[in-house]
Amino acid sequence: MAPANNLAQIDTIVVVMMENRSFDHLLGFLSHESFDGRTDVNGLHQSGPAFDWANADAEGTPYPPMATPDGFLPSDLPHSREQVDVQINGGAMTGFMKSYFAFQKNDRSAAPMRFCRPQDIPITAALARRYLVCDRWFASLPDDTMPNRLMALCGYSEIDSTSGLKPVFHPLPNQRTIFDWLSANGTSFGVYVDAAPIANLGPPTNLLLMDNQLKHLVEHVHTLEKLEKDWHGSGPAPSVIYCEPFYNDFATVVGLAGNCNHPPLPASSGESFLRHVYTILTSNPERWAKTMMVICYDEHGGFFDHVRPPDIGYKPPPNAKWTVNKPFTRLGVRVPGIIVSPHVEMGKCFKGLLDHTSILQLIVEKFGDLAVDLPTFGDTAARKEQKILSLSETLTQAEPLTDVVMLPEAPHVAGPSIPVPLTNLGLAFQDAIKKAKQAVGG
Amino acid sequence: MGGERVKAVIAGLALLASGSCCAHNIKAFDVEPHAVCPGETVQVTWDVKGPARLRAERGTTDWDEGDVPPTGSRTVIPAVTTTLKLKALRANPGEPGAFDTKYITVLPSGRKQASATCDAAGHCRATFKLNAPGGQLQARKLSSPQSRQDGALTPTKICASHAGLPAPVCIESNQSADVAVAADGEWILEADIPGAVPPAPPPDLMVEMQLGCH
Repeated sequence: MAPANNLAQIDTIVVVMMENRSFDHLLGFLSHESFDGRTDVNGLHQSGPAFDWANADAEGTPYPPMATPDGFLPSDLPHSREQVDVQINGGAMTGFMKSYFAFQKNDRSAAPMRFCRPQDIPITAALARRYLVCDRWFASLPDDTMPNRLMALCGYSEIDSTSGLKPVFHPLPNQRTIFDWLSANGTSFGVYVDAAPIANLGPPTNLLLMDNQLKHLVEHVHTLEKLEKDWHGSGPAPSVIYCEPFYNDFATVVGLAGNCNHPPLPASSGESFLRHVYTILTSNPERWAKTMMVICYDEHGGFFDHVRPPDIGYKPPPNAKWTVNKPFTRLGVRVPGIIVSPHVEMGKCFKGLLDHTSILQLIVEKFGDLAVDLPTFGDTAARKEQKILSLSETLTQAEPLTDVVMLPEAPHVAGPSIPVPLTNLGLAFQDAIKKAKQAVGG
Repeated sequence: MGGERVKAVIAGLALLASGSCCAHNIKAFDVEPHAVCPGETVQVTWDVKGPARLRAERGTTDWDEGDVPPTGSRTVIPAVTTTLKLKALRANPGEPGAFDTKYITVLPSGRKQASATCDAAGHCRATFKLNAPGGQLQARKLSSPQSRQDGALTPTKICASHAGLPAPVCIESNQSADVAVAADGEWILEADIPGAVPPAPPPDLMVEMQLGCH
């Protein structure tokens, strides 16, 4: 019998969804014998007969997972629906190098097989070591960003391709989100965006991309600095908080450093952001004692992972405008998940099956009625029937442990040694964002 | 994410900018030959306007990165396939720099593996295609046939076929086979693997291939 969870002791749920890293890439070091060597985590191991997960290129040359010093990647990695299908290769997880070399011709390195050393991601490593790691969290769909983020916010996705959105700045489909439900339910929420790097532009957020969410953008979206004030204010803090990094995967081009961890950004680019959020939340011990912070990633971003995604399919929902008119047959590639809270068992690994709809289950379980509300979130209830768990299952610490990790300093993220020598592209990027906002009436 | 949404626009601008502002700073940059066997030398030459920097991203044991004169050449012995980057530093404030990239392919050797497709009887077939320009790469021996499924390696009898071989060469798990054939082109590996029947994840077939240059 599973231990009872402590959801009743949680007042605030904080969700942080980063960009484009697989579990093995980011947290595989936890089990690797050259690093933490944990036996309870299903991550990477040194080369050996049972753990040789090398992926071959078209010439049959194998590329093993390699601990690689962090840095800007040579390019983005492929992660569209078709490319992820090649990478998963029927469940063998052997198509990552083939996909990468087919995607681009300039780089011949084994970029998809890189995995992070803990010293390069000290904040993530410290939180993962101290709190609860989830090693069976899969992206909701074997697909790229937007379909997965829609699954995380809505439980369904009317699109199956981010790049298929035409024109480029066309908004996402007007889907019903968790924010609509929270608003109708009278549950307070806030979206706090690390917008300081582009304060003159306003916060870029998921909500910017949906016409029907603009009302939330106006009423509920703030900069991360405001979270600090709200967290220490005399009034109640929002019950549900989404913290968003600065989404910009083109830092090498425009000179604006994003911190969402989307390649070609280094994995260390988001460390400062994660440290900032954790520091704010733990700076109010009374509130921290009743808080649950969920750190997760939207999809694997083309990075290798060795675990076969479960065969949980997904059919096109009503009004779907999919580029491939056939169902998904499995979940997406495994992604990192860390539950940071006084109410999780410290230094342990949660083995239950999770995907992005586990966040929706958690919020509805806490603030709504599972029987009534969960079926309104697309595929979420069906996934629950297929043994995808609520994140509340992670809250099994009998006595809350409120002591706080003293995090190291976040690493400084240096630019590539040979920068792209472009001029005026920063201005062009700013102009593009302004036009995007105007296009959606912002 | 948001960045992805603007990818096409930014990428287009990047191409425009890189094509218009910088190319004239690098008058020449080349490597010869572009593909070598391990241990062979490659001549790198360049001609740049103003100061320059040359960098090998990986694969050379004799040299990594450093400032170089505007015009010059250098001999390198890459250990593995290598990316060379030449950067033209800014000659004057406000003037853009430039960079160019060349690749040296070191012809592959060692283990070869490829994902197989298997029929209902468990007969599995995998292919890989060696690209050895000039035909200077020769396959000399095949050994250590193995299959991998769900992360577990199993010794397996594998038969290898190639256009240069008169008939498939089959090797048991504890055997090897001498071959002498230009390695260029498609190789087919076949094995019978019980339990590899779809929908099970397709196995990898692996052989050690001893390669040498003429």
